[in-house]
Amino acid sequence: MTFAVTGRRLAQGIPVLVGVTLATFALTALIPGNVAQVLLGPRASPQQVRALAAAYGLNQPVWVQYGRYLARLAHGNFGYSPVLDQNVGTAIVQRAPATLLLVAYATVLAVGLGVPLGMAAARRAGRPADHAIRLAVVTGLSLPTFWVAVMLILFVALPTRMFPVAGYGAGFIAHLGYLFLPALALALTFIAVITRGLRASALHVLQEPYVTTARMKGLSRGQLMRRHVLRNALLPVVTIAGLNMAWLISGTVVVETVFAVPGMGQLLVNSVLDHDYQVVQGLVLVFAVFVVLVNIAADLLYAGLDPRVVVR
Amino acid sequence: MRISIRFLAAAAVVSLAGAVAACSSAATTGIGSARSSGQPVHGGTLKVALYSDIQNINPITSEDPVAQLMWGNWWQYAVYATPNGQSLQPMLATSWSITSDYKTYTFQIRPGVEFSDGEALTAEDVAWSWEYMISQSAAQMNFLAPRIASITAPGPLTVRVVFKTPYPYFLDDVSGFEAVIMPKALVEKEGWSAYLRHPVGTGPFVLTSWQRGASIQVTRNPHYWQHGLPYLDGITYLVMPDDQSRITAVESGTADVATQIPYNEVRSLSSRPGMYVANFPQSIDWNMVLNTLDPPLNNVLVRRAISLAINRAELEQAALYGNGVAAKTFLPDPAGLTFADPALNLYPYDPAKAKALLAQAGVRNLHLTLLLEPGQAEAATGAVIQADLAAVGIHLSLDTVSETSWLDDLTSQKFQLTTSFWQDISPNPINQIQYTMVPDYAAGCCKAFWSSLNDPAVIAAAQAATTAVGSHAALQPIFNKAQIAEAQAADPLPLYNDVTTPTLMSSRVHGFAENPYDGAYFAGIWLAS
Repeated sequence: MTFAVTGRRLAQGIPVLVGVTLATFALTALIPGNVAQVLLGPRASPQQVRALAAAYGLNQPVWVQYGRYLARLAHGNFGYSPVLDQNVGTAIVQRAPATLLLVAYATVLAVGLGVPLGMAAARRAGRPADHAIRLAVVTGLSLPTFWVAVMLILFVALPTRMFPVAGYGAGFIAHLGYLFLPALALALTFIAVITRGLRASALHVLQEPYVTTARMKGLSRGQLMRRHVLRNALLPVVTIAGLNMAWLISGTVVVETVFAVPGMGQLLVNSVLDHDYQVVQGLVLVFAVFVVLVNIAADLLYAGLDPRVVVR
Repeated sequence: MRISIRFLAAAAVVSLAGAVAACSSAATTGIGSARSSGQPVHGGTLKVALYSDIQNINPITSEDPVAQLMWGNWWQYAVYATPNGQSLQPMLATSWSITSDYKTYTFQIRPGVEFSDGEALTAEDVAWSWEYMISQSAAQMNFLAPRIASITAPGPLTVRVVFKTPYPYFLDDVSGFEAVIMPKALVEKEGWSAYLRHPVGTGPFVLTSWQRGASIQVTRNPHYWQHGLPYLDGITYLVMPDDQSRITAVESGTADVATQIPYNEVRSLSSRPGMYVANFPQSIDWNMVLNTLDPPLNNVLVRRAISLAINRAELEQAALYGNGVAAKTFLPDPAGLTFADPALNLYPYDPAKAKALLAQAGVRNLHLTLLLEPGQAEAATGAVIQADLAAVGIHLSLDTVSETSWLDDLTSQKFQLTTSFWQDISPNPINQIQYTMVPDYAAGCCKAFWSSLNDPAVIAAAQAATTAVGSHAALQPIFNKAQIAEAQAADPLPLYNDVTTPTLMSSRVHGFAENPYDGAYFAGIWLAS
């Protein structure tokens, strides 16, 4: 049953991905200017420009170029980057680990901080601790990621000299050190989203009759919150987290640029600046696939957490 | 000429580590070098924050100034430009002689030099390397192919180059472009592509790892020919495209050097403790191009009026924050090898005369549009020129477009005015003169810097300069005539010269030096403990 549902959901994602390829291809095609001329520079002769355009099929009608692009994708070929002088797929694979680790790290930080904060706020609803947490959460939601990243560098990394401000390091332990501040910057809004969602959900659960029953059975406050409130309150948070994963991934573009993390986000920025459209198209597609997969996973997880939910 | 295909931002490398010892006084004092005080210390790994990764390591096709800078770690030239860019000195060639007709060059190759794989450098390697690069149709040096009669190695350490016609710039050419010296036997054995994956040269370091988009690692060449050098065990280059990230990397100790610091940061960074800003010379000439295809810019009086209306000193301050110089000739500073003669002072500021010229031309209520690329310097340039032209009665609209649109409009000549630049990639001056003054410079490119100016007097002056033969002193008056002819035609209009590359360094870094053609001297760098 789960395999069938997963397969159906994956199949439903295909039109979304085709739409993404169409949108990114159309956008890059609409950008004014001759890509071959940009790659060769202003001192290239017209013959050289024409030769490069022909070599990359840029002299073909846009719909022909798009058709060839889809055909290449069907064979797992993302194209070739003349700027990087390597296959786009290879370039993305080389940079994917840093981005995936950054996203995972930020998720762990967000859940690790957001869940206790949300539960603490719900448990102390209406009291000063709740107000303080809600104020911090609203502040966190309001701060743009790039600004948070710069502030972390200026007021945490530089004075303490405890955290590297740029790069990725060598080895897993070094990666964790290098990515701590980028992950924290990325996680801040996510923490706020989880905290708010969990607080609201937990407050709702606390009104449920089964919670009253559990309380009457003599469960301690801690046991009650962990066993009955948290588990049931997490359900809507899973949905919220799934939806916000797209935001988290897009945030890597900014954070990786500020912290010079050699991931897919930084590659995307560089490729846009270098007019390396093959890489831009490949990266946007990979990001889209990631978002689709995360949302499918959230749906399935939701069903796993709540047997009443049936995913069709 | 093949040089024409090179992107304006390209820069030549003259590398060379060993140069530092050969001319330590030049590398440790004055323009072009970082501070160097105290006793050099051996050991340590320098961390350099680079503004971009190597995009193309292949010297035949690379348009990439970062790659050209990085070559200096592992490749060297026969001749190199000094850090101030004003003279050429020996590197892998210890001496040379040139016949009085400038047709035969004979080089003596340095004995005892080994490649990083331990093989000895021979004259055969040098002759083959030059021949190989010049024969590649995509290479910059290919423009020499029709001029050269032969390149031979008549002795184990002697190379002879014979030209069909007199040619006085071969030393300039082999100090830059792709004239790196490679091991003939190894390249022929491995093949070009395989060789480029693990390039072997005579430079002070060896490329040991390259994580694309992230880092490049070079380590000490155990066979390096200069005794006691390099000082460093290695250099790690960290790719950090964001300006602020590079700066904070040095501030936090993550990196020791940050390249390409924005001009507007130089002053504040210069006063920070524990670091300093080294200004390496570069040779870039920013111009305003006037499209002469349509009136009134086809009228030389209007073009001269526009030139006289621009306050270039004010413009330089706005665009480069005092890190450049107002243009006085279209050839970039630094003077010396390039024949630039700022004393000519060909672009004065005289708004009264500008008004008189406009009246003489019968032009009133002139409306023009200046096409600009995005960028701080471009925006400042546009604003100042707009105000200057308004003062003489010319209404200027600014049209800022994306780089791709700008390039499209430039090459299809859909503009009235625009800005662009030239960067010297070797001391050889004839390429800039031809690109700027001759409409059909190469294979349909580039319409006299895209101005479409076709002035017989300008073309004749360019031809005279580019075909003249003689000593530098004898050639200078001929090149001055070319500079004057270009100024009288008033298109393109030089604005300012970008003469320094600000580089942020930790106080620990000593002996870092670069010349104006992006050649860096890596062997002499050392880190204070």
